Amino acid sequence: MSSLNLWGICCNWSPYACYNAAGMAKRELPPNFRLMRVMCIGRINQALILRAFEYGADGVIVLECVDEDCRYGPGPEVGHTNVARVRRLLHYLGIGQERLVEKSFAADDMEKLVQCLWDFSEAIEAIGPNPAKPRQEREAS
Amino acid sequence: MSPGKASNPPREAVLLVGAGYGALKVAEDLSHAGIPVLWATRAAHFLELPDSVEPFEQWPADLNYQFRPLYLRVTRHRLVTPLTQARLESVSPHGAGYDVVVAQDPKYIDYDLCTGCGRCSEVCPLDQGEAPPLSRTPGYCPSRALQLDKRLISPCRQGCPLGVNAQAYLALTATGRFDEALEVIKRDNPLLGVCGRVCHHPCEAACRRGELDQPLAIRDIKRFLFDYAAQQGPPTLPRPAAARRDQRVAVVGSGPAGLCAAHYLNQAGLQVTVLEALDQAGGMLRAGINAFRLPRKVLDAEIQALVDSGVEIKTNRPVEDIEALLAQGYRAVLLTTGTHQDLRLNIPGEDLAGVEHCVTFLAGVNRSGQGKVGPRTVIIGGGNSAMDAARTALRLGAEQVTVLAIETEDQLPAHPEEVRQAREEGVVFRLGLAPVEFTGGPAVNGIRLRAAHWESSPGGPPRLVFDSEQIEDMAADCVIVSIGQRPHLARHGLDAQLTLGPGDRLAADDRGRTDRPGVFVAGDVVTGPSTVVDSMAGGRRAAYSIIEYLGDPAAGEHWYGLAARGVGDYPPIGEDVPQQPRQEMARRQPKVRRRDFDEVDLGLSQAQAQAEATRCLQCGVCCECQACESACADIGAINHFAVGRRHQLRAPAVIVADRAELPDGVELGGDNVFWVEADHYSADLMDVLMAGGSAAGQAMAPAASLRVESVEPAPAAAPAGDPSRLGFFLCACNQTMAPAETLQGILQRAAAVPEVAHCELIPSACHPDGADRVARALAEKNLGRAILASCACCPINFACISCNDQRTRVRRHLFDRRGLERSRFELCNLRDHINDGRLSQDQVMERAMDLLRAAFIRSRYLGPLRRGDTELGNRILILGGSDIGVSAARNLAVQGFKVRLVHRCAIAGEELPEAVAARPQARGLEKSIVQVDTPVEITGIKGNIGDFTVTAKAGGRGRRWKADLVCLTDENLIPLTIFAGRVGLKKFYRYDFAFFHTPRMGIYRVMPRTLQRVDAFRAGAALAGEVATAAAKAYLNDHQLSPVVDPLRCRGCGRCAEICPFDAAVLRENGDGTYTAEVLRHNCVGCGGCVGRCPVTAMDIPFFSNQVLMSMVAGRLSKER
Repeated sequence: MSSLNLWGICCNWSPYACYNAAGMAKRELPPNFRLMRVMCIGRINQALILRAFEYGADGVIVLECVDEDCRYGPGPEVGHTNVARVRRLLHYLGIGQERLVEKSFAADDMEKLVQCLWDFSEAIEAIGPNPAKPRQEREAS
Repeated sequence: MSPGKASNPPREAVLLVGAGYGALKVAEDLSHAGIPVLWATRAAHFLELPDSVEPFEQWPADLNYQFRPLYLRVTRHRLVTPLTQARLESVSPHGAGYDVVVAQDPKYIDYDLCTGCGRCSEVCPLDQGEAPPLSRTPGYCPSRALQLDKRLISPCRQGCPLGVNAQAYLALTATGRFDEALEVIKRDNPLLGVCGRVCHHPCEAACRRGELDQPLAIRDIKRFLFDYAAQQGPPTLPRPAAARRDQRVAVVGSGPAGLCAAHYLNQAGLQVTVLEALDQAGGMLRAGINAFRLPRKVLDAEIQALVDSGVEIKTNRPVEDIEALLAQGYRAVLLTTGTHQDLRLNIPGEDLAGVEHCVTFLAGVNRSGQGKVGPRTVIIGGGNSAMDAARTALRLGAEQVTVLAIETEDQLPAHPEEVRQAREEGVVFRLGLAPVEFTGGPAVNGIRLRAAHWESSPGGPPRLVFDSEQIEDMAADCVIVSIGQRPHLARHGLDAQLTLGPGDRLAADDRGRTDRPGVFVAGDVVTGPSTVVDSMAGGRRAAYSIIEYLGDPAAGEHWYGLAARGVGDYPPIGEDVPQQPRQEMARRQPKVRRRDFDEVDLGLSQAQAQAEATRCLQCGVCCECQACESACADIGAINHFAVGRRHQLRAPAVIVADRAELPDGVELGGDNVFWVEADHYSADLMDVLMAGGSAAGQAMAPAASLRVESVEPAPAAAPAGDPSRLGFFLCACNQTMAPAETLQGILQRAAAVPEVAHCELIPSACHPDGADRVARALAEKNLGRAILASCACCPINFACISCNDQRTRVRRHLFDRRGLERSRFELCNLRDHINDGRLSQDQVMERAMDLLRAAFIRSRYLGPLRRGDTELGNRILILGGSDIGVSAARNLAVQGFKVRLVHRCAIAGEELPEAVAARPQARGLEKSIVQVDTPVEITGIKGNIGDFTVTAKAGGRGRRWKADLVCLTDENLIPLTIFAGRVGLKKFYRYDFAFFHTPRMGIYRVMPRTLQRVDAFRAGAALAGEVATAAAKAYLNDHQLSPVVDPLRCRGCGRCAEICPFDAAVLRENGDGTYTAEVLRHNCVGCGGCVGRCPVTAMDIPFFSNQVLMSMVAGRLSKER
């Protein structure tokens, strides 16, 4: 199995409900996928996404609610803005903007979430390791 | 959490009938307003929809998720008594309220304990397919708990006098679990080998498969099981589980009744001695039943098993004096002496040589091998004993054996199978004939016969009627009269010591009690000749009577309660069940078997037995094998013997959410019945919720006297412990989390982490015992921080849409019941993510450690959660005297709030709308309402919930009103709180179903669209209800995730204020032209949006702090560094 690092940042509401449902239903997820949960994707700033790449993530997926479902209001919009800006930065840095993916889910989109994670995994496998990783880690992956 | 709430419901509460979202809203509002609710529904779950409401499909699919937090909040609220599968039995007016009786079906699974581990359904022998006995609650009900579908006890089991659980042992046999099947039989039948061979199997007569093709071969399967076990070793019976008592009991007679009684007395811990007059135990089982039907080795082995289990059997001990027995120290005596005296025909020639009587004949053959018959042997009688005698005569060498009986073929008392086997072996039947004289001398050589039949006579035994005068002579050189037996008490002089009934039988009640204390009777000596299983049942009844007599009245409770157990009818026989004939045992050929006394039947093969057991229709759905109970032994959530309950209640108000749940013929009347029904019936979800809110609001007025503090009293805080010492606790989830060695591996690896001071495996974290163990360890080991790896995913004090009952219970037990400090815990969901069922144990371990890595990182940065309470008074200011406002004001005044009602208001600088200006003055309002009737211009609302100051101008004069809560009930006032571009309202409206909230906590408003759903009066009631829920809390907790601002870092850029949809982040002027952000704790909902937006990390939020997130990224992504 690949040792690429797949990093997920997940809103506690709809996407986490999907992830939780997938877990309870014993659905198979990419084994190298790790998840970090926050209350709302509006909590995340650009630095945190970049930090993930800095520390060796080969791909980051931002999992958020559908725009109109946000419990708090502006979350997904903040998410869109952050992702758009970080993607641009990733492009300039030579890391590649396709390593950052953003997806939104309704609370009952468990199947969609599972599919998205596998697609994400496949896409990152195809690109290979993050060139910003320290070399020994890059070689190991 | 209040354990046992459902078993101790309140005496006084509002009654809520019916399920569905409307009812959920009612229960939420009432309980949060501090009013106890008894919520009863016939449905299995509270979200099951009443028939009259549009089904789920009509609503957004994910909506069910949005209700999960509400569901958890309500059903676990201490003021709500939720009763599912409960019917409203009666409602009768009492004063202004009602006396109510609610009947609840038995709850076989305790939802306060069920961990949802699912081991019960794994061990269940039944098909978990279409109609599973154990099923998960539906997905929208946020609990993993299982439900048990136990219908009426199956007909086979009800048909068995002993209540042997045939359904269960068939189910276990079908899946090859023979040992467990045997255990099931042994619970109810200590002589299964005997019964597997000679029982007349009334279970098969009751078998519902007979409606389809043929009944199950239940007896033959039992026999197979016994023989299967016999191959491994002699049969055994359990040693008594009950503590040995020093009370001695004597059982006189060792037939089926005596042995069975001795067994149950022994199992109850009594010292039992069986006294047998003859030299071998067994009674009629030995004397009356032939070896070719019941091999002696089977009988001997089972008697030995009884002896081995602790029953003392003394042979050659005829009892002649009951009093003497009692004097010897026996606390009770049970007489099971049977019927050993043959009945006589009393016709001429009955004493001729060669005329024998059945019991004497069979006993001679069976006990000592002594027996002589003639070439032409005639058996008189048509019962089972006659068949035994006939077939014995064949084996003793008779050339021709004739059975002579008055009955017709259909009337023969013998079992048809016995008749068939006798015929096969060559026995000739002559029916419809009665003997009138035996001829010959000194030895018999013939019988004179007349055609006859039985004629039933009302109220008496049937009468013999001769059909003709014609006499037929029949040659016979041996006659065995087999027309019945009676007790032979005179033999040992017992007849004089006891009350006799008809036919010299002993007189007793139906549970074997005589008119003499301490003396009990059972078996044929009471009933006259009967069957083995009936005698055993009589013995068991008498045994329970003795145990009861000696001080334990509950001994036979479950056994006697058999027929009353279970809920609902048997499922219909499916149309897809194919017809399939039953399996037959192999038998020796008739001509071979009549040569000797070896057993005739050869038994079913294993394949046959399993195939036959598979035919069982499993009528009762749950078969009550209790395999699940043993899988749940540590949790104790399953009780197959649970009984239904009736609750009596005084209800000041009744709320009906589903008319269909009212008992037939009950017309609910009076002022205090409220209906959760929308005004129009294209009802959608919001209509139903609004109707629920309004019903709750209306009910609060009559129920106001029941109001208590709605906030749970906090338990004493547990000692803090040393923060440098970390405890690691792992929930085994009733052994389903992972295999034991994997769990041990995880514990070992966790113990190797330097800061971990204590590691412990918890059987189940959502069980009260789990929290107790954690609390104990924390105190004893002085642990200041803890990680609990279970299925719960956070320690925060709210339920999100992913939460479920088990996870909620983990937190409730730890933090609310044990008083442990929330912020010192990290809860990590391992259960749902360590294994998707495809991983090796090593991979599971790796996955677990990876997930725990996050928990360890987080546990290092655990900080205090935001804490703060706002005290609320009961001053309510209602701005706008619309019908809604008046309705709300009156409702709140009746509930005891201090209400100020300002009839005509406009926002400063705006005109008073015409409709408002022209509004007539309200009359007849409650005196406690302070009214302001002059037109008023509102100039501002300052302060926050619990401390508002409303400033206004009235008639040119400035006014200031203080209030804890403010309601805006006229449309023209809505802009006072709702600003363009603010979207925070959705949280309240769409997810919390609090329709009158504004983003500013403590201010309520009514939107015009509300009146499209309910009329103004009910809208006012709903508003009053919602206001009361806040006001009755008396104080309000701050959101635990509310952020804090570091004033030294904040540069007052205002981005936080810009993004906060709840007006919770504001800028305060510092007096020098600079600004510092501040979080208004009342408004904050803890999303952390402001923290994410802050460019200088001047804001931080508990639990998801900047440091935690950064450390998680660093720590989880780069293991090597």
